[in-house]
Amino acid sequence: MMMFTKPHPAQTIRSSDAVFEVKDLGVAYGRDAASVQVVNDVSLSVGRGEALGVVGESGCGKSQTMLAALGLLPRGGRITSGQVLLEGRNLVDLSPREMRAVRGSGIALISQDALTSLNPAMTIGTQMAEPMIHYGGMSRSAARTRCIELLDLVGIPGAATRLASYPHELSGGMRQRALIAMAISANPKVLIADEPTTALDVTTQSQILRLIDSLRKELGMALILITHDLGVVAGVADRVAVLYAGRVVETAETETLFASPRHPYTKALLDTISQLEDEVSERLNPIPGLPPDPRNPVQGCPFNPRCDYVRDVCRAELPALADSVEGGRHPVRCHVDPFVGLSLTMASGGAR
Amino acid sequence: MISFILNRALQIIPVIIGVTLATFLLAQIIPGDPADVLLGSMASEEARQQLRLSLGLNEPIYVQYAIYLKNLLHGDLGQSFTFAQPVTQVIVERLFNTSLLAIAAIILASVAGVAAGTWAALKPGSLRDQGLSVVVLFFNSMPSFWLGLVLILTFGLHLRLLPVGGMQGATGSSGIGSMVAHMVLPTITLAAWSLAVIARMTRSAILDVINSDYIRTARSRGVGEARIVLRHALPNAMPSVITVIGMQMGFLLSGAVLTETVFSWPGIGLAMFQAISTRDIPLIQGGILVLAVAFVLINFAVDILYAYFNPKVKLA
Amino acid sequence: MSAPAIQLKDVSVRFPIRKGILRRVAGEVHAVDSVSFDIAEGETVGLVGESGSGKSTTGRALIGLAPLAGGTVECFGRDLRALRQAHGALPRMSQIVFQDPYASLNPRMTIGETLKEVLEVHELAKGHDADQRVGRLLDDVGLRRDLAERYPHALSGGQRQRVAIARALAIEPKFIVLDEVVSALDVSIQGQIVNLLQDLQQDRGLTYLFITHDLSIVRHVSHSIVVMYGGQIMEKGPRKSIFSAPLHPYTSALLSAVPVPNPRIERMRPRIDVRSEPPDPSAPLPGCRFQKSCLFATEICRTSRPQLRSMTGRDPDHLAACHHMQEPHVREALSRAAQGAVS
Ligand SMILES: Nc1ncnc2c1ncn2[C@@H]1O[C@H](COP(=O)(O)OP(=O)(O)OP(=O)(O)O)[C@@H](O)[C@H]1O
Ligand SMILES: Nc1ncnc2c1ncn2[C@@H]1O[C@H](COP(=O)(O)OP(=O)(O)OP(=O)(O)O)[C@@H](O)[C@H]1O
Ligand code: SF4
Ligand code: SF4
Ligand SMILES: [Mg+2]
Ligand SMILES: [Mg+2]
Repeated sequence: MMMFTKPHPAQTIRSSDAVFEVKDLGVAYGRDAASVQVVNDVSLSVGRGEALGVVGESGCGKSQTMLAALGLLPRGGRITSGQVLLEGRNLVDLSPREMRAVRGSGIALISQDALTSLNPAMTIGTQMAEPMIHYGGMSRSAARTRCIELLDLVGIPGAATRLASYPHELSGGMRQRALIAMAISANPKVLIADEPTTALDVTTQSQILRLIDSLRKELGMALILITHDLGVVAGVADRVAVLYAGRVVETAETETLFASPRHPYTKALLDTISQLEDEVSERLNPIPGLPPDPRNPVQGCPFNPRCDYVRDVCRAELPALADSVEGGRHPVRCHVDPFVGLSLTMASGGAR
Repeated sequence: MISFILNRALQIIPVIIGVTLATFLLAQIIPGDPADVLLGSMASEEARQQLRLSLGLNEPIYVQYAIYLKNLLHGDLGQSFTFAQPVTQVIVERLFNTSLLAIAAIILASVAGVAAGTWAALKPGSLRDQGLSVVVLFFNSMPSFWLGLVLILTFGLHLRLLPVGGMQGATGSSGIGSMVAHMVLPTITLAAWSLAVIARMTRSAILDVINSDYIRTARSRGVGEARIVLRHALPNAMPSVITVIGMQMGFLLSGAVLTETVFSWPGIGLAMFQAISTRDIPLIQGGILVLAVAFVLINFAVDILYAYFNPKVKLA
Repeated sequence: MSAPAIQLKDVSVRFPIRKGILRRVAGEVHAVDSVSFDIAEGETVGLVGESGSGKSTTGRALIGLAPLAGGTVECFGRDLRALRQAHGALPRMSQIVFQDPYASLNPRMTIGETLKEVLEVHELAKGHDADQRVGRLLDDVGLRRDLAERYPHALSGGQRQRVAIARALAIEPKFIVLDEVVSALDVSIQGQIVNLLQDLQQDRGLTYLFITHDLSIVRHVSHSIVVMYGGQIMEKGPRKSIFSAPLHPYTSALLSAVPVPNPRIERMRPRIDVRSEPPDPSAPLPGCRFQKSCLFATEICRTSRPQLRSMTGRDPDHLAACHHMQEPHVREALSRAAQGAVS
């Protein structure tokens, strides 16, 4: 049925003690001269029940950060620095066996492509139940009951019969729901959703996002929502971290970020989006230039070749992620910080 | 599934007709009087005339083909002068021996090949993986008769561990142990090349699959590496592995001719070898026909297996 | 008014459903069902609708990649069937950029080789000349020239998508079907590609069919919009009136699902949910395709197929297929949803 749903007020769950923290994480591929640093000291943190949005251009290191945190970097990738803390325990030092135990129940991942993320040769039920039976010590029938419960929870109708389906027999939205069900099956403390709706159409996207959001609230999980769609972040995240060239360039509470972005990159992104509503005849004014290439790192501020506010210092020195004005609530990585005044005066205004 | 099988079975018929045509034409293109060719130059004039009549050699060629087909349907493939027996009898007696060897070899090649490939794929780049590549290269670059000779020299003549030739039936005096002992060296010789190919294919198919998103999903849920390879990667790699195994079965049939010769294994291959050296055309014809039909049937079986392992083909 | 560049009349595409492992046809998927619309030369029509609604199939039918079960397609005044007969005429006139750059790029060829192959197959350039053109194509789509030496797997998703666009541009066609081409790109690159596509359109008079599920982009690039659901057109008309005042309940639901990049509005606005599964294209129901998900469905919706028509007092070019779109309670509900969607 089509129906109207009630609007829900903005809700911010704040928690000072972070359940999951990434500290100064670096990830590189290759060795020695061929080494490419794809993530440079990224720091993120998310509290219990909190939703952190991570946005950034393709290739800025969003997925690599999360894969590194889960110890799932593909061959050739390695962590070069930093820590990944789950409830204070550093995961980087764990043995493969210990790490395996963290995956699924400590941190769960909904990975980027829903359509290829399910094993085509196994039924939904078999792959859902596998970790429960073989690593969670559940009996087959208990696992089956749990699977049905989970599929119900994520809104897949006829759950019991769906367990026997192969992935290709389900629609894209259904497959994404099944993946979500699999991700939450071990009650993870942290759920990482890497572009969970990129492959889906808008009506499904909107349902999936609200599903993830309500599961997070019901189950008290911390959520890290990775996306390149600022609209998606606006609806779900409590806080947003903006990544650029493998670094965090700005973090703020969602409303603040949209109402008064301080980093020139964030500002330019938001401007581009609002221009989309203009007439066809009007050209967009997108951020010029190319996204940064980790193989050819830029000296100084990585955004300087594309920035309208660039000064000499930007080409010489990498700015630090700092906040001198808003008491640490809105750190920005920019020498110039051109919108800082606006940020304070317009703190109560809207983005548009 | 049943309609798929029937469908494939129907497609086989024209192929088999083509094979019979080819073997029939084989006798035609051999220069000289077919009766000479078929009987050998030692035959008497009387026998020659009788054959001309019974084969209808004075009839037009399509009638001759019809006669050939009719004889075929009655199981009559002509007379082998080398063995002084009907060709059908020569082949039927040896078919079992060849099948025994071929089946043993394909089982060995598949099981050991898949196992070795999987084992190497568990730790790509490791010592064992590199070791496997060396063995694969070794087997693939070595002609099978040469391997056969090396095995005979080492295990048979030098170490005196295993018999070097002939075959022993399980019902014979020395029982099943002796039968197996006689089989070991020929089976290894016949299987080696295919084993190497299958191992290499299994390894690369698994490594192709291991980078898939769904493998990452399974890993992200805490599934261990051994299960990842065995339960997730291997089944998805199976369709390509099965295709290769099917192709190897064809190669095995031709490899059997050489291996049987080296080990004096009394199969179709050895008979064919003898037939070729004595220009025993009916036996060559019959041998080729049987091998070709076997090849077609094997491919048929592979298609069905392929469909079985790939749910998408089944439901498409 | 001059004749439209592309004209679809009652186009239908059906795919056989084969059952029981191969070959036996057990039914038909009505992927596209009596679809008619025009694309004016040098303009862009945005084709939107949910997954499986038949957008890609329509696009493929337009360039001869899907068999027509009925209807006609005219490209620049020539019948598609005739164009297909003439060797190479169709690909040089119309190109498609596919939805999935992973599947359409050969993983064993470098980007440069892929582009060069296209140029050489169509005899547009050879050797050193082709290398130069490849370099310029990469510039055009905003890729660094040194990427020519890389393989698809060594590119990010966005970079791969741009290579696919470069490949279609290589042949310099007059009409391009753009199937979800910018959906996977970043906002900054989306903007650049949209600008690029629009520059190309202005410079060379290109005509586009822009297929997407991203309504904010389609809104910027399209002169008019066609909304599909279950293989049929639900609504079509000028971009502006579709976005500001959709006539059809499905369009309204679609628009309200688009997230608004403003947290305050996004969290407060009312939404229309489409709850049920999409219609089964192999067993189309009589009547309106949207009936199972529609809040306003009545008996007539289950029995008779609504025809596309305009609404009294509105733009006569703005058509929708709904029995109840004129009724006040429907209008009121839809305009309430529209206010949330169009902030
Ligand atoms: N296997 C790999 N080998 C070498 N470099 C890689 C590999 N995988 C990714 N990279 C590089 O790492 C960088 C970061 O990639 P990552 O996948 O984290 O980007 P992302 O932010 O998730 O982008 P997207 O939005 O496209 O998913 C990119 O420049 C990419 O080219
Ligand atoms: N080659 C084919 N054989 C059988 N059915 C097909 C084929 N191609 C498409 N279909 C079916 O036709 C219908 C329309 O598919 P189409 O790809 O046109 O949808 P779409 O609107 O482009 O969806 P998406 O947004 O997912 O790309 C679907 O039900 C699909 O399953
Ligand atoms: S540091 Fe300089 S170049 Fe970088 S974003 Fe700030 S103003 Fe722009
Ligand atoms: S015709 Fe009926 S079912 Fe279809 S959209 Fe209109 S009201 Fe809804
Ligand atoms: Mg990513
Ligand atoms: Mg499509």
